[in-house]
Amino acid sequence: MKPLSAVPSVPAFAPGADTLGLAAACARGEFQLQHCEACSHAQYPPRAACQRCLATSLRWRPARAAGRLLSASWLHHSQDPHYRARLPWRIGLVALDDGPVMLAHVQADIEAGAAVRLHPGLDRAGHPALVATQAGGAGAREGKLALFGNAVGGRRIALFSADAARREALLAALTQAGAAAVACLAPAAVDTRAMAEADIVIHDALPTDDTEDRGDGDAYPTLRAHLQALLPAWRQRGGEPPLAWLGLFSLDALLAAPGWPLRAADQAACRALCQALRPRLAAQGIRVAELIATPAGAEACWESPAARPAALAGAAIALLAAGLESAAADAGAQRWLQRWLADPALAQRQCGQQEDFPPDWPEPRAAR
Amino acid sequence: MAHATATPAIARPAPYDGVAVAVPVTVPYVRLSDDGAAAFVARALAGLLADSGLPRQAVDGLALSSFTLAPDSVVTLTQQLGLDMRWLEQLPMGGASAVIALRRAARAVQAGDASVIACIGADTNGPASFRDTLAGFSRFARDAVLPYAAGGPNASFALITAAYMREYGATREDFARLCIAQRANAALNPNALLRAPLTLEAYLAARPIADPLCLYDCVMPCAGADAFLVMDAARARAAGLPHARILGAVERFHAYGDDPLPLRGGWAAERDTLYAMAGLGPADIDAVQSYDDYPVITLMQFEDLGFCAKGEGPDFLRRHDFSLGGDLPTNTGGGQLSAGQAGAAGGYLGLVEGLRQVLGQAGQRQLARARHMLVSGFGLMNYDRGLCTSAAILAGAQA
Repeated sequence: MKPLSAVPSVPAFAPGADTLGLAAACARGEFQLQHCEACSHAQYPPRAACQRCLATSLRWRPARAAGRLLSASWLHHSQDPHYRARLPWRIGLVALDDGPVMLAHVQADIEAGAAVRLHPGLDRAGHPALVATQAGGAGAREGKLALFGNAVGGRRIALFSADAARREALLAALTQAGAAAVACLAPAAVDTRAMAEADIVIHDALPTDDTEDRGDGDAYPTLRAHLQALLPAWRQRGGEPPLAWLGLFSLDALLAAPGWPLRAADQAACRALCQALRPRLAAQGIRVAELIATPAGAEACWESPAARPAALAGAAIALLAAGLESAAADAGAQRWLQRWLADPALAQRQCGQQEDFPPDWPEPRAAR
Repeated sequence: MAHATATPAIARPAPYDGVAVAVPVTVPYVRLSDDGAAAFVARALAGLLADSGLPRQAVDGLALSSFTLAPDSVVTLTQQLGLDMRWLEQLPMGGASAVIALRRAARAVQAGDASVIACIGADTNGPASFRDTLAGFSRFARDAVLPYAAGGPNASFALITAAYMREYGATREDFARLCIAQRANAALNPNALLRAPLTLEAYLAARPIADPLCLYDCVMPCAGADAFLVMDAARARAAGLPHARILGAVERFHAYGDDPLPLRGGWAAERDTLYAMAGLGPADIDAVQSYDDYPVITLMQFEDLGFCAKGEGPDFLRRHDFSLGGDLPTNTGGGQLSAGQAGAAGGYLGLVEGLRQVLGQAGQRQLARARHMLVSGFGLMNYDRGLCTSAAILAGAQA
């Protein structure tokens, strides 16, 4: 087998635009099938029309991620050098409980006839990768299937957090999860070497608790400076490619809280920057992920308390391990994320309904 | 559309009266070629003209199948090769294309739309040909197969073979019987790329490709062409060309689409029509040219074309001898498994070999009894199944 560094970091064959809806669902760990809006028929692979009634109004909707393994095979050859370096590789056909038959990656030790669960996820290029495991079992990221995850165990991590409590919680969680090394980055001075060596970079862009003055969010300038240093450093790194970049953002990144306009603008800028970088990093096999948290000091707006540092750290480790691109760090953030996914315009109007906010533009704050 | 495949009263298409099938041509296969597909089409056409003695302008129709012709088509080839044609057809049905070309051409000749039609399957094989064919194959292949470790047809057939073995108890030794018999047949075919005898030990010990498939279960891609003429029978007689008749021919697409696994093919839905047209049954067939890119699909053709019941295929393999001297000679030139698979020519290989046999032109491998030849096709593995099936029964003009 070639050293992995000589192997393409992404698959050679990319699916077409018809799979983007599935990719968007898989990116947050959700299983969906293309459904007909006229007759509700579920089908896979995606296609231009409903095969039952020929209607062309189709939508990706949640489906049961369960079925029965019809047949499976260990591939000992592949046309794709990305997988050729990882042979033998197991695939199989799953008869889904919702009807269609799906070709999926298959866990090593299950045989045809077994009831299986399908784990939505992404391949190294960010395209949908469904993994079938024993029903009720784990293992979707074990053995060779770890390819689709970004588990921190044994990895070098670079961590930036301006908040002491969150930094300590993340450090503790990373250490407990077996990270090989954690380098803490400073906000101003850019540590290019630590960045280049990092397999995974975690950037805490959550706003600091500025309940009193509701002043300028200031996460964006630091994030921008870090990314401007990181990307060239990663490009020049030899050996195994890096795995993932994880940003911690507040709900403000999705929905502009009326009482916190500057924070909203700052968080939205952070997220926009990372979303725009996502495809180009995906092409190199690097996952760009976001963890959305309820921020401190805005309980009246988000109707829930801020994410606790330990919970936030645990959610970050889990998101990376699953190889996903998006998750919520706490129950409040999860609720708002679902509202935002369902109807962003409606969620924007719901946001801040319960909040008292000052009538005027917030006073500018002296630089810290 | 999703549907249960209907089995209405047996269709009775009009007979193929007055149609001759003649001039079997094989452009010798090579493992790799720097030539494009058009070069193999040209060689096939030149072979048809040379062997028939017909003047170039006598051929007024062309039916073509090729995977590697892009960006050209049968239309742009007329200009490239200097052809003035009254009738053109391009058949994208993969391994089912030859029988389908035969059907289309026969009807055109009957209707007077053309009088002599060249039917050609031709492909090249370069280092990147197979990968390019995979990448451009279909929407389902691009979206739902290639991103899953890019197994291509080997992986698809591995899943079908594993399911068949599990469902009906076939073993690798059963499949070996077919592969070994075909290799023995290939020993007498100078055009076969693989002619060294295959032993059971070598078959079983071959390196795995996609389990349960190992090396000798999989065709070897190569470059080449196979071709024949479909023409007015009176004209064939006037030209003194030995020719065969089409006793029956059928095609079927996406039959049994609701079966979760494709353990039967469209032959099962069409075989009554085929045999009714021919006035024959499976017992009257002297030899079979099956589509054999993997042995399991030959097994399904025996079942679905009525040689045995569904699920009895493994036992059928154990009880019959498929070599040239056997009781049911099958793939008498070695089939694709021994001759190689020259892309879309793979579907033409069996028809051309069957034609040679009924015309008594099979040389050293000529069967003593070759009155009724069953030729069958299978094509276009897409996502989890092949979408095209076809079959024809040929007989010598005097049979």
